[in-house]
Amino acid sequence: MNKLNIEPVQQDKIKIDIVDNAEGLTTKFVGDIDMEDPSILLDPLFEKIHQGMVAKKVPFVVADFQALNFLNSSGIKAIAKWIMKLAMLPPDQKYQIRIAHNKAITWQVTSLPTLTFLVPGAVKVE
Amino acid sequence: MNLTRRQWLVTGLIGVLSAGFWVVTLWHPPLAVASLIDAVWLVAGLLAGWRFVRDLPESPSTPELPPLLDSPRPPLDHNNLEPPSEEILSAGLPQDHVLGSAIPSEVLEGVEALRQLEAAWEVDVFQQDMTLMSGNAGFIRENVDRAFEIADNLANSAQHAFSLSERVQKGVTVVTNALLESLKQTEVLSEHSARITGILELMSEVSDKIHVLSINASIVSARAGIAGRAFEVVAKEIRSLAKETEHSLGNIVEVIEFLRSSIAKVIKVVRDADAETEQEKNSLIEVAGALQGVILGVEIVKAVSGFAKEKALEQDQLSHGISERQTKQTHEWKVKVAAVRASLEEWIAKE
Repeated sequence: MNKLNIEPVQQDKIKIDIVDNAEGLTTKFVGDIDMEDPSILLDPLFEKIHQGMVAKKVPFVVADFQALNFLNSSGIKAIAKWIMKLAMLPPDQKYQIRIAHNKAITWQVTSLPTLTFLVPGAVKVE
Repeated sequence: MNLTRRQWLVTGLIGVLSAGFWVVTLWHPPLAVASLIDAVWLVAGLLAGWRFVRDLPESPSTPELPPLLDSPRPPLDHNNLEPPSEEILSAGLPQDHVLGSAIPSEVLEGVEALRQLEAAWEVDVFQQDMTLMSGNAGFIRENVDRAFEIADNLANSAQHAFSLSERVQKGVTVVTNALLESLKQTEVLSEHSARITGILELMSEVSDKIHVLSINASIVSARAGIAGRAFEVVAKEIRSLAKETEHSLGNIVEVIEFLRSSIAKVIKVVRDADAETEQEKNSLIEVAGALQGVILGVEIVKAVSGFAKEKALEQDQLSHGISERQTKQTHEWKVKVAAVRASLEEWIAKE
C-alpha cells in the first residue's frame, strides 16, 4: 500500500496502480481508457489523490501514461479536471505533477504537453 | 409674556441699573427731582431695552428643538419605501434664512451636504461600476462560449479527419493485401514459367535425340542401298521435323524467357509498392494518432473553457447580488436622508 492508502483500480481494459517513489507518489496507467464514461472511475480516484497530496503535504506525483495505449476524450477531460483542482490551490499547498509519456505513441506526444499550460510550473511532461 | 432668555437678561440689566440710580437719589434729597425724571427714564429704558432685545438675532447657542425632535417621526417602513420626490430633491432653502438668518451655519451646511449626498446617489457610481462589472462578466462568458464552440468545431473537424484517416488506413490495408496477393500469384506464374522452361529443355533434348536417330537411320538406309531408299526419305522427313521442332522450341524458350523477365519485373514493382503502402500505412497510423492527440488537446481547451465559463457565471451572479443589495440599501438611505433633510428644511422655514 502507498503512503496515501489508495487502493489500485482495475476496470475493463485499464489498470491503475498507485505506488510510492523516492520523492512522492507514482500513478501508473496500463491498458486502454476507452469506456463511455471514464469519469465514474477516474474522478473519485483523482479526488482521493488530490486530497491526500494536500493533506499529507506530498510534494510530487508522477502520472505515468507510458503504458497507456488509448485514451478517449472523456478520459483526458477527467485528467484536466484534476489538474485544474491543483490550479485552484493556494501557492503554499500546491504540489507538482510530472507526466511521464511514451514518445512512440503519437497521441501522447500531441496531447499530453497541453496539460502543462493549465498550471504553468506545477505540471511538467517528461 | 413669551421672552427668550437673552431678552430677559437685557431687560433685567436695565432694571438693575435704574434701580441702583433710584437708591442713590434716596441718599441725596437734592436729587429727588432727578429721581422722578429717573423713574420716567426707567420706564422708557425698560421699553427701549425690550424693543431692542426683541429685534436682536437669535443666539446660536440657544436653538430651540426642531420639530423633528419635538415630535419624532414614525419608524420607516422599509418594505414600502418611496424615493424622494423631485420637489424634495430640488428644493432649496429660503434665501432670507440662508443669508443673515439666525440658523446656525452648521445646520445649513448639513442640509447642503444632505442635498449633495442625495444628488450623488442619483448618479450612483457604485451601481454603474457594478453594472459594468456584470456586463464584463457576461462578455467573458459569451466569449468563453464562443471559444468553447470553436474548440468543439475543431474537435469535430479533428474527429472527422481521424475517421477519414481510419478509412484511408483501411483502404491502404486492402491495397496492401491486394498487392501481396498479386505478388503471390506472380510468383506462381514465375514458378510455372520455370517449369515450362524445364519441359522445353526436355523437349529440346528429345528433339536432339530424334535428330541423331534420323541421321543414324539415313546411314543405315544408305548401307541398305536401293532397299533402304524409302527408309531414307522417312529419315529425312524425321530430321526435318526435328529441326523445325528445335527451331520452335527455341522460339518458345525466348518467349518464356521474356515472360519470366516480365514476371520478375512485376514482382519487383509489386514488392516496392507493398513496401511503400506499408510505409504509408504507418504514416496514416501516425496521422490518426496525431489527430487523436488534437482531439484530446481540444478537449483540454474545452474543459478549461467550461471552467472559466462556470467562474464567469459565478461572478456575474455575485455582481448581480451585490448590485441588488446595494440598490436596496441606497434606496433606503435616500429615503431616510430625504426625510431628515425635509424635516430640517421645514424647521428652518419656521424659524
